[in-house]
Amino acid sequence: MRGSYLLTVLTFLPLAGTLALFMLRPDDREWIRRIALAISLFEFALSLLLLRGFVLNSADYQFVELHNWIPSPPIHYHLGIDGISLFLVLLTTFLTPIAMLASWKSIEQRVRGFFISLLVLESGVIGVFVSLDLFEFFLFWEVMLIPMYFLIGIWGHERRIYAAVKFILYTMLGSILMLVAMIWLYELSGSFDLPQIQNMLVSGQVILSLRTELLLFAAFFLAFAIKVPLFPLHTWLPDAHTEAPTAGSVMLAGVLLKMGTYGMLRFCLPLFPEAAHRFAPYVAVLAIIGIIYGALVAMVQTDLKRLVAYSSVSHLGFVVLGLFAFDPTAVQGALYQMLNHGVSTGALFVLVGMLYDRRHTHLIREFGGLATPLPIIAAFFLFVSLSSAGLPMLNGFIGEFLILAGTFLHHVNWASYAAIGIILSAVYLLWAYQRVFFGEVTHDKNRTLVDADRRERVVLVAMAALILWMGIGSVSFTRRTEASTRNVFMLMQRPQVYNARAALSSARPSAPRGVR
Amino acid sequence: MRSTFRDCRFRAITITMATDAGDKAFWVNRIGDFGFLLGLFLLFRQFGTLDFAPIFHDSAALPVETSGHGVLTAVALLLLAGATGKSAQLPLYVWLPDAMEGPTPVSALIHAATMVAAGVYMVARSHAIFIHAPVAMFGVAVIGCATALFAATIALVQTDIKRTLAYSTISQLGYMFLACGVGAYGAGIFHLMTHAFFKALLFLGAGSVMHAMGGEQDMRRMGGLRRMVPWTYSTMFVATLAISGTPGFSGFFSKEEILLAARTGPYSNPVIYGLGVFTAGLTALYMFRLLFLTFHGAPRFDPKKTHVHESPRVMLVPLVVLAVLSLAGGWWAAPHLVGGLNYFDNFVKPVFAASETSSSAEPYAGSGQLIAAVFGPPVIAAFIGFLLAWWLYLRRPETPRRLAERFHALYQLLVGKYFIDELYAAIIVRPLLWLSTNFLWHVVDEETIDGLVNGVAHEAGEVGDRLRHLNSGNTRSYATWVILGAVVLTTLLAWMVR
Repeated sequence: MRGSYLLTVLTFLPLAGTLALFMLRPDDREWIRRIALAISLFEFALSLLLLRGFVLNSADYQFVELHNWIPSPPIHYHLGIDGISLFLVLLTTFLTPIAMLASWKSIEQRVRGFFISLLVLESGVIGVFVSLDLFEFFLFWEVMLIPMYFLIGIWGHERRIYAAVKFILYTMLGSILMLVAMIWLYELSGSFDLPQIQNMLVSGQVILSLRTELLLFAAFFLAFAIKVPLFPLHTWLPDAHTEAPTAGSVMLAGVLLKMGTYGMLRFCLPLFPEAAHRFAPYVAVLAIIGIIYGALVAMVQTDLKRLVAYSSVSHLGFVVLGLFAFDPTAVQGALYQMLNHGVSTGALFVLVGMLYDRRHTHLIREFGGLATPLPIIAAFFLFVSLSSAGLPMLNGFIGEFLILAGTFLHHVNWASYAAIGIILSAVYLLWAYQRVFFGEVTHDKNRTLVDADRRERVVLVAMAALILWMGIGSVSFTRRTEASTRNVFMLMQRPQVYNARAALSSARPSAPRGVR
Repeated sequence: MRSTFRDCRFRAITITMATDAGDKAFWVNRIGDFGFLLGLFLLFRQFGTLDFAPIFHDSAALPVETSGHGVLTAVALLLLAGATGKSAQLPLYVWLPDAMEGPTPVSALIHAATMVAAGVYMVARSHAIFIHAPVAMFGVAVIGCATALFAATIALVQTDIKRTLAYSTISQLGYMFLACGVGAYGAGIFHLMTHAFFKALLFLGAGSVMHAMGGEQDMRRMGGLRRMVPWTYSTMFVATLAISGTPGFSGFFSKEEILLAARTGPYSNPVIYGLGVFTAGLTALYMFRLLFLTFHGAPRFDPKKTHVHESPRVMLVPLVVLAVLSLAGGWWAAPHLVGGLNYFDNFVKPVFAASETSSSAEPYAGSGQLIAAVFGPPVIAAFIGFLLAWWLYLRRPETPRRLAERFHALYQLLVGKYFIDELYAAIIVRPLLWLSTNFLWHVVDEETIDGLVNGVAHEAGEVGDRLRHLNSGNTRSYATWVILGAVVLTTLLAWMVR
């Protein structure tokens, strides 16, 4: 697909769109919203073209754009997608208009800045998913922090500054390690170009010593683990989610966390297979702790938004476990679960935001019996909760099933412990649902609440339809991702010389592993 | 597929706002599903597919795991875990009685006939696996037998008409598990069918009684309804006879087949047989107790305030249809000797051909055996149960109270349903909530991890603050630092060069 400029357009259209917003008067709120929405919808429509042009059964990067950018050090403008990044790009373009619609009325201050931030964020996130040059990747990775920082820090709730600073410091810590690792990798290979480095490693042109590989893996992994977030690096997440405005939470949960798991799949596994195998048991333990721990802590939360935030820790634990099971089925499941979590948890945040718009609180005890005044919201909330709890026919089940089934093939105990999470997810979601929506209306303020209006119904129907489709028509997704997830395992192979050296340099003899 | 049932049931119950019960049903089933799912994974790992036919074909080729070590035993036990959740067996039965909060027709449909059947069906469907895992089969028999007995004793003292029936359902499901456990899969499925007839009838009858009584569910405030609601009474009477195993009624044939297999089949076990017979007696006792308390004796309500009326025809027609089936449904499987077609048996026999080793081959080989069955222990036990019920609740209605006072502790134990709910709350639910709130959330998350993070941030701030004071703007102090730095550097260089 050389010669196509689609990815460039997709990456920079939102950014260019901000220019249009700058031309409007800051107080012309209605038109700012409309134009921002129009840009993001157009962007979504354009991104659907990716589906049409995407070649199935090919693990190669597609829609590739390769231009020289900086001659020395050799940095390229290199874009491309494969089955792994395809749906993450689509998820981003889908969630951005959703986030805009969800905050249509709740943002009244600095409206122009808010929508500009959202568009810049969209550009940054798409840039991360389509970059094939390490330097370029890092650039987008950092760029996207800035609008997110503003979204939390300006339009957030009471403790927004604390949450925003915590978010940025945590992420920056990881970023710095990743930057060092990238430069080191450049020193070793003389290139910033990801496919090129990958080729050198696979062909044996560049051989990393075991120590180097372990350190490089650790640096990349830490940056991504913070982003995911993996236990015990997760404490920025509840604060960031609780304080962020609805749109911020949707984007944060929907796509920003996926950058972490995407990074693991794109960098940690194929570039450093030996290190990945050695770290895998520890990573899996942390992932399983995250699954159970996140669920248990979510169960006892008194703040609905915090509850959903901790549920993310649990769900992302499943994703990480799937990645480090080194099984094609589990990796497929992990990729699917990334999308599921984006849609389902995004929808939960939208719904929690709708409750907040009406009552200006997230505390569960302030609700109760809301199914009576808000039947439509209650119905969608139930639907989304069940999808998040992994009910068959809805999306969550597919992801969890594939992850656990694939993991079980190699590690019976991992899968068994992780499966406890599916009991707990039903507990915390349905218990919270019951306390919020069922029973008698306990607060008089709640009696007069107004149910979802047309704008909100559009948002909810769109998300529910996607949830249902992902539950029934999962093949339309998995057949596009299959070739690429299998390819990850091809890329993890190393020439014989490598294995011999690895065997020598390690106390534990390691035969060629991880190759299926 | 199973979970779709769960979904529907969940909704049905929640509509009535009895949401605690809905949640409980979902959670308890999730615990069963945990085992079920792991069982599926293990099957997938072993056979590389989840398709029934190849799995059953391949597992038939594996040796019988008599020692109890092996994949098939593990799979069977994990599947059993799922089945206990779905079919409300020990220890996961706790959701079913609570789920009675739902509307009565829903109870009749879900708890009598369709949904709870899924667990039994799954075990019977996977018979090819179970038959190769005798240890798991024994587990099925023990769980079924224990549940049958356990639930029957609770049903003895319940005062709520629907709750009595709920425990009766659990008990009868126990019989079906018992059947599978002793290898009589066909009999288990047969009992599933006959039970569906009479239990649906009993639930709908209970609904009709409640309708007549203006929503009253407490049998202590009923009595003497027999003449006021004759149709409801007579149909429920038929159902009671059927569930008690009266010869000729549907329940007789199915229960007889199960117990025969437990006595003489290849997996027979005298203890299980004995308890099965004993439970048959208990079944008659609690069912006739229900019947007598509700319909016989003097009314224990104010007839002036409660206007008792027979239900409309739309409610009665289903009762009559089900009564006919409760009476005649068993003849489908009745042996040739008594003029039956043995139709049901021929219908399911090919399915279980490989593993069916029980009574259904030809249970009543001679007329002597048929007579033996009619006057056999289960029927005698049931008759004793009936006599006891008649004595306790019609002849000497004050006796039960005296007994309750005499055996106060036992009575409280039964009324409190062995305090299983309370036990689960005390050893699982409350500790888990406490641990999650006080340890995981507050100590680990807030104090340890966040404490560390905020502590580092604070320290960094402190250090920065102290360094700030170096930037004093005082030229002399800068000069001091420059000289100090020069000295340190020189020393360092000198040391390195050396």
